[in-house]
Amino acid sequence: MAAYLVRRALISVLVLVLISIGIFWLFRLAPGDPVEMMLPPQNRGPGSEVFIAAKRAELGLDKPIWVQYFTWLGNAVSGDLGFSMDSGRSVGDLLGERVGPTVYLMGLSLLLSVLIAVPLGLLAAVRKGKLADYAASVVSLGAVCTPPFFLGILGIYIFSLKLGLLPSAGMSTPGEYSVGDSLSHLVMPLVILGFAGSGALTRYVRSSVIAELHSDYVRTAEAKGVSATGVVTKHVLRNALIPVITIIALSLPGLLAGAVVIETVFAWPGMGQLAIAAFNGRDYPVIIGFALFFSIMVLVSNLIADLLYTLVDPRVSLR
Amino acid sequence: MNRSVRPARWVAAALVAAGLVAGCAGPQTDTGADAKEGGSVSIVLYQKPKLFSPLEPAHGPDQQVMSLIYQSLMYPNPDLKLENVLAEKVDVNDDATEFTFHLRKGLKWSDGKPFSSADVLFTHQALANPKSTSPATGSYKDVVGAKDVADGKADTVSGMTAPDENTFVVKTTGPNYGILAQIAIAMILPEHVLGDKPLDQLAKDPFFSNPTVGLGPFQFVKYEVDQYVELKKNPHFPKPVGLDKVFLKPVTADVATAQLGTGEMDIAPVAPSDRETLESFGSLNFVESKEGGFVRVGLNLTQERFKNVKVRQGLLTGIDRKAIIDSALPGVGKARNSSFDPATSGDDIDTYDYDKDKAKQLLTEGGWDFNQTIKLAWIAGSNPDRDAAAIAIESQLKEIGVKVELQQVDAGWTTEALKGPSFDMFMFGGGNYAVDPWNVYAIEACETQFPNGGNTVRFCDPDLDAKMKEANATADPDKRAALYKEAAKMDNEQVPYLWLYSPGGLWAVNKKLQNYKPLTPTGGGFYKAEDWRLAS
Repeated sequence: MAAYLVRRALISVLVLVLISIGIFWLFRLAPGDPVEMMLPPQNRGPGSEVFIAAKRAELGLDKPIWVQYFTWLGNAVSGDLGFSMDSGRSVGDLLGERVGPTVYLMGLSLLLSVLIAVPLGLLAAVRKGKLADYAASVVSLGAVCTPPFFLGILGIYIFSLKLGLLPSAGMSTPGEYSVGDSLSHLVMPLVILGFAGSGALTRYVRSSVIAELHSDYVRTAEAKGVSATGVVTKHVLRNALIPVITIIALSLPGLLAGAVVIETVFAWPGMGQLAIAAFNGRDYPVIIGFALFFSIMVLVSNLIADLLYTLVDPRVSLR
Repeated sequence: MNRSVRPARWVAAALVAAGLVAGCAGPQTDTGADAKEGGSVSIVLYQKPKLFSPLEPAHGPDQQVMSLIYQSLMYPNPDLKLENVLAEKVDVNDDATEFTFHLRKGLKWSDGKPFSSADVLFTHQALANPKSTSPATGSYKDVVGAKDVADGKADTVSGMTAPDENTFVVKTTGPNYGILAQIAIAMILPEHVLGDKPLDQLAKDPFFSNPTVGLGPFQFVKYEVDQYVELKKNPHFPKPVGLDKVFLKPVTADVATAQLGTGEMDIAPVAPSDRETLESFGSLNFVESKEGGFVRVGLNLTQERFKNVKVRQGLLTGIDRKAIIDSALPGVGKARNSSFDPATSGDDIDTYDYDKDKAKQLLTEGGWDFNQTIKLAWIAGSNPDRDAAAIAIESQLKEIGVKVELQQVDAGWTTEALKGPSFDMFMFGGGNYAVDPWNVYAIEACETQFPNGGNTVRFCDPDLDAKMKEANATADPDKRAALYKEAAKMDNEQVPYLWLYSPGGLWAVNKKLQNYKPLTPTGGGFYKAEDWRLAS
């Protein structure tokens, strides 16, 4: 196991380096010069070229791209991801500020998705072809088919504008922070994201449980007199969750990367918004920092998925 | 007015929605007679702020925040005329080569330290020096000694001095009245806080992320990332500030609209098409703001096909600008017929009214090849009126036989396309040509062709340049106005741009807020925020 982890760690470092090279070059191929974009055409004047040259020098963009890459890599190894071209702030700070709100919202929404999907998928599978199955299908397919932004706008219209029950956006009321206030801001984005995420998960749970229900061990357990509830909860569910765990683990990086649309609709200060703003402004250090963060999450999540296999299925061993 | 959402208010809102209460308010004219001191308001920022620094390129949301925490020698008022702020009086000599700013006395920074001409001199020296990487350096190129600094022969610009603690003087190498509007609006920085920083490190100073020392009516408290900027009243502002706090929140237009309804937002620029919905809330007043810039289609004049003036006049005549305004900007948009502000050009210019037959005739006389296709590029999705205008232009020009292909681009595209120049037609907006007509020089003169200036279309008419220079060389307001009027007529005949419209601005303001006067549609900042009061 230890050898396996070391091997995986070394491979991950190599993959990260390759990803950083790819991202570094790829984003520089995109049209648009970040320094020129700072100065809209109508604001150009006689000193603009001097400003642009000075800024390029200050940001190191006047050097060959391979020099820029190795400079960046050297700093990154020591934990310095550089500074945003846009705001001049440290990329590490920018990412760090948003990790908290992102984990807060996305982690809870994932939990909510699981809390909706597991019982609903289980119910649909056990009652396959019956009213409960159809009802669960309507709910889960509805969650898959309804765009979260639509639910967001609808939610704001109904619960904020018409009923006045919930605040429409943000993480808290400016200047009036309290736990209750913070929770009331969380409700709408959390429920919408949790509901949206539960759709596909419900379908996975349902099909996985149905597949397990036809297994030999189920028949054996039933023959030995285990109750129907016991068979499902003690035997079927555990095996059925193996593929579901993979799905959840692989969706973790996406969750940490943020839900751009919901973040935008609810003015939630998450990673997704940062990434979009950085790309629009060709803010290379932030884009690369974000991509690297995302890559690390993918690698870590894959590792978590593999490790969880061994926990839920003793037949799997990592060597 | 930030507060929790209360159901009781929503009963009222529902009643309003049901049509029991209706009516639109005219421009806000409350005098504040029944107003109280204290309270807070929330204002929309149409994008996220970056850095609160006058040394950085202008960014609308930053400007909005800075206009509340800093002050400048002069600033445009809602009528887009320069008004004294920190300057009590400004003297300009007859040939517009010497500008003397007499500063208001007894002012203090928000930390209680006295304000003086040393602060003004420090700020302008920093802005004028390329070492500070300020994009405004070019505005000082005509100041005596600026070239020596640019060439590295001197450390400070000799033409800017502070002979006493209440006077700041700028001398230019030649007549240049327009420099007043370019440099007097710079936000003044505290010399006692930043004066000892090396100039090449000044722009990076952490102060600009947390600028707690300023001269404005409000003092910076914090920027809660991506959520809101919090300001509190400046205790040392020379007159009482009406509100305790101001919050500026970067939210989308949809969220802003919803929050205007819930009471979570008090001030927001809104689309004219949303006015009816917003009026139904019953809690808002609507105020229009003047617009110093305009939306235009720039033709790539390095292309032979656009060089004939009749072609440009024909294309302009073939666009039904009134129809575009009526559908996209009802009530606030105004058709434009010159790069010069209507107050400068007067009415005695060609209005290029929509006329398909005349457009075709002009194009034919100009040798237009009706078989060719031109691409119309614009940054889609950021301004609904421009999206509507692009579609309308394509269809209207098609009616006169001109084939247009729409090209949606992002901001990154512009840097390459404008530099080339590799575009055919590019629709964009912005600028402020009302504060001083000299600002037109930057977008139309031969010597300001991109990248030396904002003349992205590469227009060049030496006669027009000479006329603008002549106007800029006199301090006599009547003489200047007459000369600029002549320049505007020349500009109107030459059609350097296909002028579309001045979008104007419409602001929705909570009825409880008094004395709010909008200053340009969005990123121009705020006007006399110290006078804002909440109704008691």
